[in-house]
Amino acid sequence: MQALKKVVTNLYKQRWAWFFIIPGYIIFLLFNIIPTLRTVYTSFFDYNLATMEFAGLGNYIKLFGSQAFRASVRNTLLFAVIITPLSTVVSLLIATTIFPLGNKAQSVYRGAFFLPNVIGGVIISAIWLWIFHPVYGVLNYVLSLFGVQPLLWLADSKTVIFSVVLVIMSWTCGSLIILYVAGLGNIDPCLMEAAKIDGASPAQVFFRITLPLLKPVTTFIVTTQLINCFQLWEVIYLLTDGGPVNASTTLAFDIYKKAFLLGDYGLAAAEGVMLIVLCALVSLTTLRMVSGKEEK
Amino acid sequence: MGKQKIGPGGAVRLTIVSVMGILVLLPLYWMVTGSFKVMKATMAVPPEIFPQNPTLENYAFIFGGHFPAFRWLFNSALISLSATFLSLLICTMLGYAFAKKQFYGKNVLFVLVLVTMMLPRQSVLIPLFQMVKKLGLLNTFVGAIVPIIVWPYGVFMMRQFIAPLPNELIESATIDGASELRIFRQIILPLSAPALSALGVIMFMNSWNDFMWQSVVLREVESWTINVGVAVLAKNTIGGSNTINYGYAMAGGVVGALPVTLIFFALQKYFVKGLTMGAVKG
Amino acid sequence: MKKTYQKWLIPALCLAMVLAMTACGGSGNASKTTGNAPGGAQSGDSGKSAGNGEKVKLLFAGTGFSNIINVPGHEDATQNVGDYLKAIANEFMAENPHVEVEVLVNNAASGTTETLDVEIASGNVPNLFFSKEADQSKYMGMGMIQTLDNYFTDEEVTDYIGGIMTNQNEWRMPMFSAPKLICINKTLFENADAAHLLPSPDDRNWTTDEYMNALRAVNNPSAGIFPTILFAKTASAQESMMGYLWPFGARMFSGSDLTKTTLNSPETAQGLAFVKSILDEGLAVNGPTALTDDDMWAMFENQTLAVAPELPAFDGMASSAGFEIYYVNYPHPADKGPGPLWQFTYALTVWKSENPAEVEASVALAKFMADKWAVPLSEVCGALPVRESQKAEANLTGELQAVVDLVGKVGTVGSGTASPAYPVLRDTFKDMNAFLFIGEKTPEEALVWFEETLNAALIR
Repeated sequence: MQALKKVVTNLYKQRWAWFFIIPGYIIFLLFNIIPTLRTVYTSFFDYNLATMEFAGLGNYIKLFGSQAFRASVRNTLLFAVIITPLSTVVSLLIATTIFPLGNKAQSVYRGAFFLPNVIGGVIISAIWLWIFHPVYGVLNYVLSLFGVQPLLWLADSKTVIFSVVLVIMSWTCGSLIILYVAGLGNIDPCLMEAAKIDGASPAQVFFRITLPLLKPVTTFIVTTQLINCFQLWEVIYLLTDGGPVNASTTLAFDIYKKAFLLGDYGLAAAEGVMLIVLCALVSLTTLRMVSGKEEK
Repeated sequence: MGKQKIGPGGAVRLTIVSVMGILVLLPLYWMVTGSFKVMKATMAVPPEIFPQNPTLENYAFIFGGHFPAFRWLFNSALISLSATFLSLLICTMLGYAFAKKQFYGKNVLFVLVLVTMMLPRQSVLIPLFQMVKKLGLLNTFVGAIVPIIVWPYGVFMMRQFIAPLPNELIESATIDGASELRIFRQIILPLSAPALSALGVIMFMNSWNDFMWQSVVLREVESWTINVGVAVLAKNTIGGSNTINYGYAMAGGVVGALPVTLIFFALQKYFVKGLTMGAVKG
Repeated sequence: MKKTYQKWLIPALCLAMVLAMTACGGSGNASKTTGNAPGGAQSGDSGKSAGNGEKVKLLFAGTGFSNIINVPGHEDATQNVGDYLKAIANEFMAENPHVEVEVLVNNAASGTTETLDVEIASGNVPNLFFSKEADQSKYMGMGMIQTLDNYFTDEEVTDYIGGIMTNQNEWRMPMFSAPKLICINKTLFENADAAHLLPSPDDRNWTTDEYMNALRAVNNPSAGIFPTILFAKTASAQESMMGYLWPFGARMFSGSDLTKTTLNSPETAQGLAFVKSILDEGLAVNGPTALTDDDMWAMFENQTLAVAPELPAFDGMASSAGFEIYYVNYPHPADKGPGPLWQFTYALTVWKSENPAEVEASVALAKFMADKWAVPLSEVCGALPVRESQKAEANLTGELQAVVDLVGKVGTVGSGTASPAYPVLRDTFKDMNAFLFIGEKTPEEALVWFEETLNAALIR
């Protein structure tokens, strides 16, 4: 009884907190949590819109036997492993190059790199589809001017991953560059002055001082890019439809395919669950790796 | 404050970066020039680097009356602006509560929000649609807006920004007799302005480009947004063929991208400032 | 102290969520006709009311094909994609005031039945669905479609050409159909002085050697003219690729057994080898795994493609683009006769309903559409009527008349569109072609892979 009274009093004391929390949280529950739970729930059923039969782990077993699923996992991880470090390094290099410039010049470069990011994935993919086209794509034409043989960008399983990486990099690096530039701006120049006076070479300054101080930004960027990689759908859908025989299919795309092409919503839900699990695992591991090393 | 040069070979690197900047912009150049080409010209071999017979035909087609393109632009603006405004409000409220308030299960609720940050929409498309249908929000703008306003990243960002704000401000205001709403409105919101503007720009961009959800929820041609309409348009030519007309697609792309680009350039300063707050302050 | 709160908070939250979830989870199960949201019927739900004197409400779903616009005789009402469905509904309602028809347009741009699927998932099941046959078998497999045995008289049944409508377990009502065949830009051949290599107008058949000769003659890389095109990026229009295999004796299924594919045979392997040789000799557009049938249409319209395996739907395009169109059969190997053609059928299905009045009204609407709209729609799609009584009404131009004659001569073949797993079949076929075109598998290996993969899916 005493405990209950305490609870009620506390709840009353917290009423304003609840006021701020509840409206948003209801929406969050309705449109984020409950659909997710329902996906998990559906994954244990054989659901094809008309009937819903309990299937236990049947969907998961079927999933692991599906070649498309295995290819999706492989490709999703491949994209994540290639794009994340690559875009981090490239953005960092670009950021360090444009950082010393004056404000006007800096915003010109920033704007240029970020502009593709402002445009949505659908439009970007449509443009690149045209650029990569085997017949009237401008990319092969430009290459031919340099005497290079035309490449089968999206048509060949050996080059399709590269093509997709190219599109994603040019599309998303802008925001990363902005973040790094800001991060660089936050570093106290006195630190670097002091290091220079102590006789440190520019490289040493960079690796021993700048980089560690950019750690929060790096962590953030790595996490964001990873999340982006796991959600690759529009680009795959428009550019490759999964690539020559699943050479470029991702989990997000395969879920869509399984749901709307096969009509097997239970299986798609199971794959959705696997995607969530994979996201969580990779994010946690990366976070631990990146923030684990403490330097001062 | 003199800016330090970082790293060797500054001039060479700057050249390389400039070239990369141009390369990154080339697809956009291709889109804009493509929008002025007739279909035949878009399929020219070798491709016309600069349109030889530029035409406004594609734009005329889009706005020419067969499709309610202006209506689409209006719908996009309506949805994006509403979503942005509501999202700013809700995310700040949630962020404020998580940052400054004490209540039961605060940590659990917050972790729950974080965990859904990486959730891909495709995983939950069908149940989400069923939920929207059940609430009678199908084919309504509300249905296109509400499911996206509680953006976990936005909540996270606002919380990260508000948390370091000095508690003394709030305490002294309370002592002076200010109500909770007053504190929120006159202290928290103004102080969060940088984060708000950044989040606002991002939310606007996200909702403007939210193709998948909008195409699922909005059924009537009249209620489509510009991006949805343009995507359907690229494959739908008068004359009854199935051909994909890159001229229409590019013009549609320009129309779909222009408003959001202009907004970005107008607010670039705020956007950059606020974006870095969430990341740099970690 | 805090620990105790948190201990029961989490289970309480979980319980609340589970309760909320199951409350919302009632839809999507076997009760097909209830679909009303408890929160009140919005405009968007078709409230299915039975009862005398009350209106019968139907939900008429159809695919918004991008080429069904400006339907002859109804141009004003069919300006936009999907309008034709509304026009049909309006006309029917004018004649039948006790029926209210709501239209749901399935967006064809996505290539799947996504819109309809999501509707069904929320319990909003249609009464009729008009689309290409391949889209509909899925729902037959789910047991949602009404068989029409008791709704047609014998005369009505025999009116259908070639016995494609029977009175046993008939579940789809064909409106019009078109065969996939070889469409030729005759003007390009004339420009290359190669028109004599084409089949003669009264016998539109040729051998594979003749076909290859024709392709070689019209090949003009410097002018950017490609002889033909193969595509394997998406599952769309894969029947065009299948068309090359039928003359070799390949068959997707034997008889009516749709549980095992019979495509894996030496004949099919020969057919695939032939198709590959077209690509290897450089007579098809390079990079087929990045091409779709949309590219085929675009290039054909641009007159950079001489031969297109597609439906005979190019009359309009030919006259506006200024070339002459010519339709012939797929080539057959010299040691065999001409191959049969696969028919692309647009059909109407009537769906099961607990309310018999709805089924009656649906059948009435179906017959109305077949009587008044089948012919104009077939005209706009470049398709052929499926009923004897409508043959005269359809103003078949010279080329289309020749197509009808060709079909009559060589007969038709099925690709398994009656199988509920047809979308999977097409996608698997596309993948097999992809393996073949990028050289990762030989024809025999590809067929073995196809057989294994497809059979696994068919069992489901």
